[in-house]
Amino acid sequence: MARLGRVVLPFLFAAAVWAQETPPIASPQGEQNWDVNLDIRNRWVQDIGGNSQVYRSVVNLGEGPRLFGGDIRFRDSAGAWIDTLDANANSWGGDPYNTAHVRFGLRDVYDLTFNYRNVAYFNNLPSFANPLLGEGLLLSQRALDITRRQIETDLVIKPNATVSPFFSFYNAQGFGRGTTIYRADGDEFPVDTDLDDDLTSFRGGVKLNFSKYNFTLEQGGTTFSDDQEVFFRDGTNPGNITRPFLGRDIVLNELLQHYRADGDGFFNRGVVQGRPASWLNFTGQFLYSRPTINVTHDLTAAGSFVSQALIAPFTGQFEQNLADANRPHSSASWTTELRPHDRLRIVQSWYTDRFHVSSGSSLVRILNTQPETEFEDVAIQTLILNYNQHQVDAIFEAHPRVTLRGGHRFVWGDAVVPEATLRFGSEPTNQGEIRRHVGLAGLSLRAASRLTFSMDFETSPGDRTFFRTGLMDYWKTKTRARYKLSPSLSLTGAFAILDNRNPAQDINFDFQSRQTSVSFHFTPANGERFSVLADYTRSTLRSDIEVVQLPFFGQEFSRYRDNGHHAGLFGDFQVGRARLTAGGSFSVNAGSRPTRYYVPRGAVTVPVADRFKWVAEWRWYGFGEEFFRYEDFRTHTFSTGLQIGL
Amino acid sequence: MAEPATHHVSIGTATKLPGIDVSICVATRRSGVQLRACYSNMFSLRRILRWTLSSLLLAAFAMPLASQDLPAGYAGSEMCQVCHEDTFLGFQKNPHALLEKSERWKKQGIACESCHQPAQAHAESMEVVGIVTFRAETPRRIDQACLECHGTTETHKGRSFSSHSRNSVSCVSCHRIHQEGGDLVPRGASADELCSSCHLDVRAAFNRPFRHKLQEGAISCVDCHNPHGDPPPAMMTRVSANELVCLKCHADKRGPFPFEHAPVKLEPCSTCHEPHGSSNPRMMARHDVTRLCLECHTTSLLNLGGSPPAFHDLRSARFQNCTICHSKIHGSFVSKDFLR
Repeated sequence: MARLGRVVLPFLFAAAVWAQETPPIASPQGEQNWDVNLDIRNRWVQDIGGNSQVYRSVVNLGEGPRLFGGDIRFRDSAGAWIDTLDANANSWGGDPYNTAHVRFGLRDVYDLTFNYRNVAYFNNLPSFANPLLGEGLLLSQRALDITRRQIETDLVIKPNATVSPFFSFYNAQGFGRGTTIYRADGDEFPVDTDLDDDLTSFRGGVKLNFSKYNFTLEQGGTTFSDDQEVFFRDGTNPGNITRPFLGRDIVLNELLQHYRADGDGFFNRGVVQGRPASWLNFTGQFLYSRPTINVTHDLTAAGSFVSQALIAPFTGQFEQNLADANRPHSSASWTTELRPHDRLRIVQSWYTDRFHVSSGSSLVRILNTQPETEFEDVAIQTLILNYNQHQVDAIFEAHPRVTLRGGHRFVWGDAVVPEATLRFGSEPTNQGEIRRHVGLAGLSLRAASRLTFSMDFETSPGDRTFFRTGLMDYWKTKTRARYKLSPSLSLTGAFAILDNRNPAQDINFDFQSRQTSVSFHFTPANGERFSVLADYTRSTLRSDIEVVQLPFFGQEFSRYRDNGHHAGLFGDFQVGRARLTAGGSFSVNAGSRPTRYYVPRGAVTVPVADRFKWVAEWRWYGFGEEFFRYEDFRTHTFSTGLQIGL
Repeated sequence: MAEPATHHVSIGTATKLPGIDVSICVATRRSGVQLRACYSNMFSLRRILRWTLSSLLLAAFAMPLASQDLPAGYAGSEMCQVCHEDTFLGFQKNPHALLEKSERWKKQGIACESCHQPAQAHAESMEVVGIVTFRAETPRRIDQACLECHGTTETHKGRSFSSHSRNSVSCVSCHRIHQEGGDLVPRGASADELCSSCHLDVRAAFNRPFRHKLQEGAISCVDCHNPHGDPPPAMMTRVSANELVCLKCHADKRGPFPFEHAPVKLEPCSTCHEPHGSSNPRMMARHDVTRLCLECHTTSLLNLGGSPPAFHDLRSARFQNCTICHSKIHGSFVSKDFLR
């Protein structure tokens, strides 16, 4: 019977073939589908053990109901207004980091993207060289409790057409409160500050897409404002120094300082890309921007002060500054890729970046001495950068499994910076140069379809660098290998090293950083039963450089060491109907700042109904500092809720 | 409206020791139902004769299909669907399906072959003949195929600066060409997983306590880096034409300031900060801000930056945190010493 079927079936199919006309392409037409996933939970945070201020500075997760994550995906291949919609949201309901991303469009008609990000930044780390630490005061004098929020919208009209206009709007805000320092001669006073800045940018342009050439022209404008208020109201602030200065106790009774900065600017961008022949590609870019800013600043202070310059006491001061600045900034690049032979690519790139900041500032300061003293000052500053880089690489496929690369990079440029006000010892320069020839090499091996290896190497004897710690006589390499034992099992190893030296007199800079990493990824049967992902990195950093020893202007070595072990392990296991996840990460550092940070976690997910899963997760956060034990914190967090798939 | 029917027939022969392998595939699709039959591994003379007869009959029935209006050597996407059904259907929901749906690229009906090369010989022989499978191709050939269309799109304007391009990391290392999805590359956390599968040292940096909030989903690798390449440093994207992407979020550091701190403008932020993650507060590159500042602020003949005045008695805690007094270290509106 089976044999008969084998013979007859082809004839039946053949008859059906005969009876039909040649059809159009068989694609899913008119198909509409929704895919919605939500992860809603409640989180509990155990009472913080140790320093809760540091917990907020590092983790900052709170309690309560949360939308941990949500995804919406919509496809309508026959949609008249929208045929694609993707949306996702992350950490809503009170968490310090919320994001939302929405993208929708209609094929060949428009594409609209909306992004929202809201990040709370809290930093109150007391160990940062607090002058009052010896007196047991742990509060930071550089604390911040602010929010940074961004909204971005991009619209592209006819994204695949020959002429495709685009428009974009971007707004970034920063606001919140912090602690800063008001400095007077002989003392510094921790005071409150309110921060409020706003950047808005509009841009629009057109893309011209031809078969061998593309052009992009864009123009935009920005507005910027920065309002800051620094204040201390009605009290007695003794500051960091409680002993008299020039025979007088320095005390702040009242402070009101207000900055108002308003700026605007415009920018232009032009890009040309071409592929005039099968063996030639080129790209050229020109970018120009010119932001400007105007500043007014008022300061009123009352208290008990001494002017070091006048050696005279005073009880109050008033100060007003007017300033402006602008920065014309041009950047350009040109790249060419030649393929003179099937296996040879020659890639050339040139990049230049030039700007010129010029500013003027006027100051009036009135000190309430007996008699009143008035200062006036005018300052003009210039900061200029000319940076250039040219690179040529030859990439040769010596064998289908071996690609070799060799090249040369030349970096040159100069800078003029404001006259250094820190000018003790030898007279510092205010003009710098950068000049560096770099040799480049690379190797890619595909030793077998399962084994890949790549190496990247560069070295330079160095000539000039702007700053003492810049790249000078250096070499660096990155190597990476991946062995895929099976489609579900892979091993990856990576090694990177940067060795940089500047043997010049009074510098003697010797820097080396290394990272050695391995990872293991096992997902048999697409992880249906279990999957394991593990990685480990050993990092070391050594930096020695001669620095000035104050107050005697001798020389000493600044030494920094970082010896770290970092690892992550995540396992997923199916146990009956439940999915168990266990693992976590740790980072342990020895050296100049010995630190431990552990985040183990475990979770269980169990289907409870057709579209619902119950999820529960535990995490532990543990942080420790060997030198600053009062910074340690530890806590458990527990969350549970439903994962909903519609 | 009823779905139009499609029918495909391919007949091929190939010599495989120890005998002759004749394959016949017949498929018909109507109203969403597909029937497919493939016959192969015929070693005996009786089977060969039987299937040869069947093949001739099928070929005769299938002749009208050969009259499809396709360029010479092309088999047509329908033919590909016969054997590669899952790939074909996934592709229809993929942005590349525009090749089939839009007239712009003149690839309608031959989208598969626009990358894999004309496949008539392959369809007839059912062997890897004349087509490019990419599975065994070198990164250079893979990239060439992709850049045939994408080489002049704006996404790739910085390709020559890209370390990925220079190090033979081909397009398909990150992009999944056939799979269904709004994007050919995963975004958000999935993109971060993809990046960190190679950049293990960066993954490790994000395990440190002071870091950008990547694991929390507040930021993604591609928010800062353009994997297709951008001018230095580190393939970082630009905003407002030519400002580094750091200033997109940290707009208060953007300036221009009447009193600029030179390294903030001349060097990338990574001169003082570890942008991925650090063991030092505020993601600083050193544990002690005094040392960090003095590494530049020690006068040397050929470099920028002078030494602090002598009243900075660094033996005293009062002077060990430079940014307590020099609080506007990223640039000041009013003070040339960044004091306010």
